[in-house]
Amino acid sequence: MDTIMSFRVYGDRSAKKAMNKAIDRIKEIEKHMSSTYEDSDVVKINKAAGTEPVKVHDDTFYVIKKALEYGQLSDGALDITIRPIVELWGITSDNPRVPSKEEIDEKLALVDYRKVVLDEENKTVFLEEKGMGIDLGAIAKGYAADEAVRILREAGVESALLNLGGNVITIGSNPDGRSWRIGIQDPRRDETGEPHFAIVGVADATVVSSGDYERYIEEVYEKTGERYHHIFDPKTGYPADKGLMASTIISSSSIDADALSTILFIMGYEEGFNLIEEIGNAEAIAVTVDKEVYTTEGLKNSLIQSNDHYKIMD
Amino acid sequence: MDKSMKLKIGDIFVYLFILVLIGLSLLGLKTMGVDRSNTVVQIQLDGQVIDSFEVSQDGEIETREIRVDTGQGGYNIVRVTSQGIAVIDANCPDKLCVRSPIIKVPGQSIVCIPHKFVVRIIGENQGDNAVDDTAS
Repeated sequence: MDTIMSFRVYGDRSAKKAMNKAIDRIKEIEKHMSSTYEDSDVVKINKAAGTEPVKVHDDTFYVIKKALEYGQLSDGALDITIRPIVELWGITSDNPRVPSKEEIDEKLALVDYRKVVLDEENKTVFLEEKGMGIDLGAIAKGYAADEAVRILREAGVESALLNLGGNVITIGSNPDGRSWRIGIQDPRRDETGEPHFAIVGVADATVVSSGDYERYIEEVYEKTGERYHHIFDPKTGYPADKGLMASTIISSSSIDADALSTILFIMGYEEGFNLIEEIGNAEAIAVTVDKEVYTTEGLKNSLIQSNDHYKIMD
Repeated sequence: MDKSMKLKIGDIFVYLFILVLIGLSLLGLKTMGVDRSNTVVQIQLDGQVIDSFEVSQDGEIETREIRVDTGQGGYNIVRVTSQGIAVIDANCPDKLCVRSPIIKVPGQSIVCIPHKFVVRIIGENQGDNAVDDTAS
């Protein structure tokens, strides 16, 4: 899958060169970690599940290792071995469907991040059981963003704003010297007609949102009002249902922001906030299904409400 | 020598007063927001808005370049300067977008049909709710 990217880099010609270099690097990462690209490390790992370890690129190894750390920290809320469930539902495919409980349980038996075996020395990855599969969708984009930022900074870029498939990454502050004003998408913008529900000012930080609004089975939603979305709870095999419709993370590390926004959405706001405050280096926003907005301590008083459909809580 | 040609102390005060008035009114114009509106620019891909940002209208703005990957290896690079907005590079077959003239007025757009890419100036901003980008 191609991520839609837009890069705003301020400055002279050398900035343009750096921008192209950063984009090439992102494409390389996408190629290694795509679930669909035939020669990707991920596809190779999945094909060899239950059979043999697969040697992978250093960046793939790093990202998987990082994802497994997050698996542990979140007690399995972020689980890259969710792939069999993702395939079963096919939310992002042309033929999504709601599977039976039996089908889900059968596939759920294959979901366990502790069955991913890493060999640091040989840089190999092995899935212990046949039928297992990994999906790096929740974290690879974050890693790619960190790499892009590194390349741009090394080239001397002091002000830039990147958008990688909805993840907003900023370098420095806006060229006028003020902080970047980033809107947080209104998760029900189709109903409210508002593009965002809040605005945050950031510099040198990434803003990542997750939610039930991004992709879901539209046909079922139109008939029943039930939103079967694409962020699965590895404990149940069903779309995460912990009372949130959207989560947002702001952090200086994109890979952390990417992982934590998914984790927060799956865990729900109380448990999710506890974890985020414990880890540090990140602020969070959670929107409940009742349109109440909660923020971590560091964002209190600095979140600007931008429409009246939501209620920002103390 | 005609006495009336000479500046009296009182006259100087009057002139100074007028100068101060002019200065204040200029300052007022600037801070009252006459020049503070922003132009909203949207980038669309296949009918979907994928990026939207604002360009300040007060004086010089920093040049920026936006590269948009349109899928299947396609790209368009947009340059924003105080003169306006142009597509400066693209790998589409016809390159019509690159040859399109600079746009700077709401309603104007540059279209790249092969990439289903559109950059459009849609109008003035929404005041306090102006943002640089939206996380989705």
